Amino acid sequence: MNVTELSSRLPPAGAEASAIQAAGGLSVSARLHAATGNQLLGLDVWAGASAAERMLSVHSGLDAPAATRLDQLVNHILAPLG
Amino acid sequence: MSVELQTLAEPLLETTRRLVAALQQEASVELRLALAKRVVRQLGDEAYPVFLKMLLIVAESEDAAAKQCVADLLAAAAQRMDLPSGPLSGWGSSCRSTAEDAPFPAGSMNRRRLLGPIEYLTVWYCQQTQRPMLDKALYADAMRKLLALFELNPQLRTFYASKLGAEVGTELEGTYTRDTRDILGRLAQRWQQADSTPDEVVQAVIRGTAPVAPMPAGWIVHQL
Repeated sequence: MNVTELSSRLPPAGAEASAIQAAGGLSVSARLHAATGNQLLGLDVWAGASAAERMLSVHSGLDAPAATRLDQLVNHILAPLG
Repeated sequence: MSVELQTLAEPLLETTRRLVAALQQEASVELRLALAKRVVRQLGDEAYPVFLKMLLIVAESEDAAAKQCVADLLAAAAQRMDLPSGPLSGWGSSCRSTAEDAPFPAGSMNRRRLLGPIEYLTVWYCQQTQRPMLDKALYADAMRKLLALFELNPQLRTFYASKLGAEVGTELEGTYTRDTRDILGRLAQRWQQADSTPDEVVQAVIRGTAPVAPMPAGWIVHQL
């Protein structure tokens, strides 16, 4: 599979970011910008996860329609950050 | 760690999962590189630490395939002298602002240097930049994890260590302070030793941060 094929399976850019902001009040992007670099690096994203749970390849998240370009794939990757 | 900050964990994890998935499914190394660099570019100049955090999330995971994929990607990038990089102001520029994420003043734009992951972390730790300095414990921890990740591809270790070794001797004045050069030099030297572990490299890096030579009485020495 190449980037073109991957990106053809992505949701519309911005759709997920809007959903995330609506669900969480202050956007992830705003919270990310408010955090200092030291806080960001010190954040334990795996807190409470067992070794078996520390996997990244559990799902691709690339199973929705739309989009055709590399930048849309990048939008999809970064969408959780708002 | 505040509850508010902890809410960033899942979005960071999910973004990292998506990046890894996209990289693992793309056969062309050129397109994988383009994708990684586009992610860094779209994050923005001031958000390079987010990319570093994504690398650390991969390094901290138990996902061997994901780690190898990222290490192989960075090896290809290092071979092309094209590692995904972020900008920090040179130590000679006066662009530190009170707000960490404030834009650079226009006059200092040409003093920024694009730095790869190891150089960025080291300059962030050692020098006054637009960003408040990185805590020593965080620097050591992040460096140890990145080195462990990078070691998964022996070529990456070879290329990157050689690049750092060459760079500290030739980098233009104003990019690195003496402390930064010393640290990067020690890192490169130790990392180039085939049997050195990430722990040993980090120990070699951080052991000598205090001045070695005795200072004359009355002198006050600051880390610049």
